[in-house]
Amino acid sequence: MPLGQGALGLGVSYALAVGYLLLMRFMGTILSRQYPEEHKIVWDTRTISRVTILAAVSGAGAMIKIPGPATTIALDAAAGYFAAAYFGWPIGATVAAIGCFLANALGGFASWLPMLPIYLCGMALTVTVGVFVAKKTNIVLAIIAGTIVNTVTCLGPWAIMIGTPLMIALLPSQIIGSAVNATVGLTVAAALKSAQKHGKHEHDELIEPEDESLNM
Amino acid sequence: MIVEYESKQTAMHNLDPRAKFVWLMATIIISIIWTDPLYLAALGLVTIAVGCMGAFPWAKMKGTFSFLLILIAIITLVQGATYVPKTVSLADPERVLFHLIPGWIPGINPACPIRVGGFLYGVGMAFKVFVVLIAISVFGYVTSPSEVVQIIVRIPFLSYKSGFVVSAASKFVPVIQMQMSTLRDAERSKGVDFDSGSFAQKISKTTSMLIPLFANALTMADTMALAMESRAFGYSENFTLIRPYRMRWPDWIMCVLSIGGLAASIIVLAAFKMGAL
Repeated sequence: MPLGQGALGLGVSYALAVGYLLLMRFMGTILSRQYPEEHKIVWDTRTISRVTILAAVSGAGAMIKIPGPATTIALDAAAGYFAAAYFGWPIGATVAAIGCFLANALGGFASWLPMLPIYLCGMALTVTVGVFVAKKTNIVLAIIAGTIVNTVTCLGPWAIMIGTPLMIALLPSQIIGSAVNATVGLTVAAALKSAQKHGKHEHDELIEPEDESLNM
Repeated sequence: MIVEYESKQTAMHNLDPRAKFVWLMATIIISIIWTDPLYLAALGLVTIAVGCMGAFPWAKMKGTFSFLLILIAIITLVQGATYVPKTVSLADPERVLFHLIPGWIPGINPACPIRVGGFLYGVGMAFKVFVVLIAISVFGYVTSPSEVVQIIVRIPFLSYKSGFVVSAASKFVPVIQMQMSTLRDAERSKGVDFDSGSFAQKISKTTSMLIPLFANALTMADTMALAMESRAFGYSENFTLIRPYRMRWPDWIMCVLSIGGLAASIIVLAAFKMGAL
């Protein structure tokens, strides 16, 4: 039975959002322990500037529209996935949350504003789950996991408040949008990582002295 | 934004952003705790009055309202058909108001009953959505984006770095948009047509445009970090603002009215169930 858009419905939804954060923290801690080089972050000036610029990319991404089969898709979450895969989950989660806020702010908070904190927590969890699955398995499964988590975290609270019939109608556009964002974010991160790796090798070859006598 | 900010000399525009934010929060919280459509309609009228004080351009909301009306009608009917709330003001919330499939159609029995409780609850929800939408639109119209950032920076217990990130990111959005436009033009000059092809091809074309965009963003972030460090960003936890705000008496009046209204609505709801359906 729906709980309504009152204090009870919103209270339960906010409790759910706290659950998202706890789950994100749990998965993030595992990542940080197992892959400390990639997922342990120092919040220095460089990290803050990266978060800033990638959040701006996320905000601007809301204005990149791809005409899709069910609806027009905005690439507002792609930067969050990218940041999580490229710089680690803490940066990814922060970028996803701030980017979601910026995208909503630029869109005039067209969705119901009291739900925004829940979306922010949901986005932070989504990118963390995405990068967790990508690390443990592969990108394809990460895209599927990210899509499922994003759909559940975004529509779940609404289903609790106003029931499932309307949510089922929104399901196709939500799934396609989530999948596209996850695909774009994770593939761009993989492409840039690969380019960086190759670039580094080429650079190493260039500076490597050819004359053996020069080696000390 | 649904309605863009406009710099004007009105009572609402001249208020301190914190006072406007307090009003917005009070309106949203009251709209959440009340469920009676009559009370919510009254709150809507107050919100409209505040919008009029800020010379809000109501004509610009026409499209949004038209779209919302359809959505709201669906929500109201779904609520009416599927939900019967526990009410304090209705004698018989389960009484059937009408049937979605009426009985006068020959050979068909009446079905999908819309019940009074659920219907009124749905109407209340519709008012909630409208009140919040109007309040946010009015707030966005009378508060500049830089003022919104000033509010975030002043949130207690929140590091100024968070405020800086939101502030700087909002300033960088147009820069990134410009880069995106340049990259799109560069792709077009190579013969890429973003509007043609299948859905998968469109995604692929957009992704190929996004790779240099992200690469540029990373370079920009490194340059920005250097600029920030050269200005000793993060050296001290104390920070200053370029434009400090000072609360004046109209700001205090707005804050007192908003917080007083919120407190009163909570008290009368808890004590006398006023505002509850």
